[in-house]
Parts: sequence; C-alpha cells; structure tokens
Amino acid sequence: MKVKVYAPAFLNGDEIDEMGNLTVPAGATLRDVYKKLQVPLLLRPVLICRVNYEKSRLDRKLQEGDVISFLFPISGG
Amino acid sequence: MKGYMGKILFVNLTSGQIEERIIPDRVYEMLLSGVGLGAYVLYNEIPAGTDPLGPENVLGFTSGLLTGTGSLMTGRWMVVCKSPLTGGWGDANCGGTLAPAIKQCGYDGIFFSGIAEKPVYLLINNKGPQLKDASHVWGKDATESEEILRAENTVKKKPAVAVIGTAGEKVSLIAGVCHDGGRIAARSGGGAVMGSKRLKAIVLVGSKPIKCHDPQEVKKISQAYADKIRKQNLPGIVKGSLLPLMGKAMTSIKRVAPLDGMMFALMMRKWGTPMSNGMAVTNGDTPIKNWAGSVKDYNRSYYSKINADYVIKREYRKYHCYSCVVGCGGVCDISDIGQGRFTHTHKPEYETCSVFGGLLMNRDLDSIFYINELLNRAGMDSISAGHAVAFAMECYEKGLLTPEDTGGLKLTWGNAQAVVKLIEMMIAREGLGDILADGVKIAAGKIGSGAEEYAIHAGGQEPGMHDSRFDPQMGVHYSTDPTPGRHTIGAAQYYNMTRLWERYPGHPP
Repeated sequence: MKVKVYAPAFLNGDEIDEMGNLTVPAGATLRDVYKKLQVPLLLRPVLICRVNYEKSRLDRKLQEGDVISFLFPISGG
Repeated sequence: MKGYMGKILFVNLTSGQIEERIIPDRVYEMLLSGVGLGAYVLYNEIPAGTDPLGPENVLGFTSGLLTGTGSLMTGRWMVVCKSPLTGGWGDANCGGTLAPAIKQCGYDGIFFSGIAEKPVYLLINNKGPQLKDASHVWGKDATESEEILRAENTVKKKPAVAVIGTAGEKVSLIAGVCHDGGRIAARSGGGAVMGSKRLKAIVLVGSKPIKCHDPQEVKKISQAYADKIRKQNLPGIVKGSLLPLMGKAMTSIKRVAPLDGMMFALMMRKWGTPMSNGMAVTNGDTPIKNWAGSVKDYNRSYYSKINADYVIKREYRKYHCYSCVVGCGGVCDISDIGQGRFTHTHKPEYETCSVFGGLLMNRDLDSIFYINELLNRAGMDSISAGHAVAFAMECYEKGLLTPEDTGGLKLTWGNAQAVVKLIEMMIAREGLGDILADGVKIAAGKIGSGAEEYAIHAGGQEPGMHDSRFDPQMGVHYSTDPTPGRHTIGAAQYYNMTRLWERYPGHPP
C-alpha cells in the first residue's frame, strides 16, 4: 500500500517517489516507516511526527493514503 | 456564483461624489476578487503617467472572494494603488478584521480618487456611505485615531477601522495603512497615497450577509482543516533555544525535500513569526549588517538575545485574525520600557525583530519592542524603516554622513538608543529623518557621493528580511514581482511547502 511521507532531507528518502509516496506492506506500522527512513534511534524521541496530523505511537497500524508528516522548520514571517 | 457582492464603492474625494458600481460576473470569474479586482479597477481608472501622489491615483481597499463565506484562512484585506515608492503597481495586505467588514457593507472593494480639501474619513453604516470631517483626529497617531473613531461610531456593532498615522499624513513614502491597533498593510507606500488624499480612515459598520453557493460544503472543508490545525501543539520540551540549532542543522543538509506546511502551525501557534529570530540567523536567511554581514558578525552573543522565548515572555494575550485557526497574534506588555510611555504593543513579527536586530547589529530586544510600537502608531513600514536606518549606519561608517548630518547621533552598529531616536526623527520628518522617511533609494539620491552602493532595494522598495543568497527563488520574486522587494509572494521554501507539483502536472518536484 502507499502512504504519503513528508520527511526532513536528512532522513533517507530513497524509497519515497516524486509524489511523496512510500510503498509499505499492508499492516505496516509507523515504526516500519521509521526503519525505511533510517531514523536514528537517538532522534526518535525528539522528532515530531504526526499521522494524519494526529499524535501517534510507533506501533500505529497504517492505512492506504495515510499522511505521515515530520516537523521541519522553514524560516519566514 | 456567489461569494462576492458584485459591486464596489467609488468615492471621488475632490467632488465628494460617492457611487456604487456594478462589476460584471466575468471579472470575478476571470480575476476572482481581492488583488485581481483591485488590478481591474486601477487598470481602468488610472491614466498612464499618473502622479502617485496626485488626484488621479486611485487607492483601493479590497476583500477576498472567499472572505466571509465560512472558509478558513481567508480574512486578509488588500490596499491597492499606484505606488509612490516604486512608480508601478502597489499592493499590501493585512490580517485583522477589516476584510469581512468590507463585504458586510455590501461591497467587494472601496476605491478613492481625487484629493479632499480637508481631512476626511469614510463612514459606512446603516445610513450608507458618508464622508465625515476628520480634522479632530488629523495629527493623532493611528492607534489613538482608531480608538476615537471607533468610539464615535459604535452604536450596536463595533466598527472595523483602517487608518493612517502621522507618517501617512506627512506623506512618507514608506507609510502604510493601520488596523486593529497593531496590524498594518505596510508595503508599497499605500499610507502615503492615503495621506496625499487627506483621507484619514475608513470606518465600516456593515451587517449584510455574505452568501456562497454551498455553505455546508465550505463548512465541512473548513472543519476538516481546523481539526488538523487545532491538534497541532508543540511539546513543552521544545524551547526557543533549540531553534538556532535547527537553523544550523538546515545548513548542513545538502538536498531539499518536500515539506508539510501544515506542521508549521505547531511553531506558529507557540511563537508566531518570531520563531525565526534565531533560526533564520544561523541558517543564513536573515540579512545581517545591511546585507554585508553574516552569523559570524551577529553571532550567538547577539541572536540569543532576541530569541523567540524572550519575545513571548512579554506576551499576555494571544489572538486570532478573522477566519484564522492558527492564532499567531499576540499582545505584549511593555510598560517597563521607555519609561512606560506605552503599556503594550502587538507582538513584533520576525521582519521587525530582524530588521531592527541583525540588520543593525542590535541585540537590545527592549528597543525592538519600543520601536515596534512607535512604527505601529506612526503607521510606518518596519521593513523599509529598518533598511533606511541600516543604510544610514553604513553611510555613517563610510563617512558619507557626519555627526553634523545626523544631528549628533552616533549611528554606530548596534547603538539601540540612536536607532530609537532616528526612528522618531523619521516619523516626525526632522533633520536626517526627513531624508530617510521616503526610503533608501530617494535618501541615497539626496545624500549622493556614492551612497547608492549602500541602498538595498528592488525597484525602490526595500526587500523583506530573507536573503536571496539563501533562497535564490526569493531573489527572483524580489526582482520581478510587480511589487518588487516583496517576500510574501514566492520562494523555493514556499514552493516546497505547498508542493504544487502534486496538484499541477508538469511542475517539477
């Protein structure tokens, strides 16, 4: 299944296509996405991530079309 | 198609004639409303070669197509005119509460031509539009004027007011139009055009309904977005001191990835735009020392003093502009600054913090709060004013300005007291302030001796506080936008954040 992922550039985005889609097996969890992105273990507690803009545990089961967003700042104002 | 009111108000300030004009549906279908409607009216009304400060210039206030329909994030209003600062198209936009008020009076836009013989303001209430004498508020600052006019015209409903301060009255080309005691449509010199017409304010007390084709669907979409944003709150452990580190981390990343702009709401809800105060210094976005310096100059001992946490430490109330669920606005207590001259000020935005911070090598945050209130009351654009001060500082450093020219002010980098005094002189148009009050391009022309080299502008307008060496697409927009120097129209960051390629095939990711 495909989920949409918006991840900071310092994570591994090799498997994310041009439209921001990441293919994961049915029943995959957020933790599986973290593994694909190679999120360093030390960073996991501090990275702010939302699934469909909701706080989620790493064992949250994902569904087709879910949006996984990481906070990464832009400067402006 | 609904959502628009289908007509504008046109006021000739010379003759006093006020007329309603129907706008054909095809105009809305082609140009929507807001800036598009403004462009349509100005294009058809202003003759070529018009003096921007003359009677033939047209000043407009427009609302948006979606304003008042129940849609989210559609509460901004626009000031449009031929800009006296750039000589071309001029527009500025602002939040607050004026946008729905324009439509509630029955119009999509209110336009003015001519010049009044004496200071006036336009009142629109249940008796219709009327030009009223404004001599009792002419000479008063924008905040005080707004309070007086609101009090005079409140029956049941509180009026929405857009007003100029003394900067606009004195036709400073960097004057804007103020609103809600701290908001301002600052750019392009719209305040100068308003002042040149002796139009002090517009006071709107309307209650007409604003209809749209499918209000239930609009409500459903708005609710879905509001739910997403309301859930976004930053964990308490994320402090302002982390922001410069985030900025530094951004510089170490060599590739660009699409962003989710919705997540930005977390930071905006906590800090507002001052979240960038330190972060934009360390990532290279903030221009430093009149665009000639860098974080090596404005280092940690400087930017740590204007940290976002210090800004919100003074904040005692947050507020939302109309139809916005983010709520980045705030009101700050400044009763202990400047001998208590002012009790409060609207939270200074990143632009104000950085133009009076890094651009001047100033690390005195209290002075920035104070200057923020001075400029809000005077109705002067902080971006342009700060650039004018930076320009003067570099001229002083290079010997093009002497202490005699500055009236004894020592315009050395970081001298906060001198900055405050110079701003007061610009507002009053006294001494060197009179030269600087029309922006850097005109000031450089008057000072001469090669001063043009230190005048940072695009087509006459000072650029926003975003270094185009950090985001080259910002530079493209600075140079090519009809309102040059503008930082809110386009940039690589914005393109990345809105991910346009997902919606429009053919756009590169």
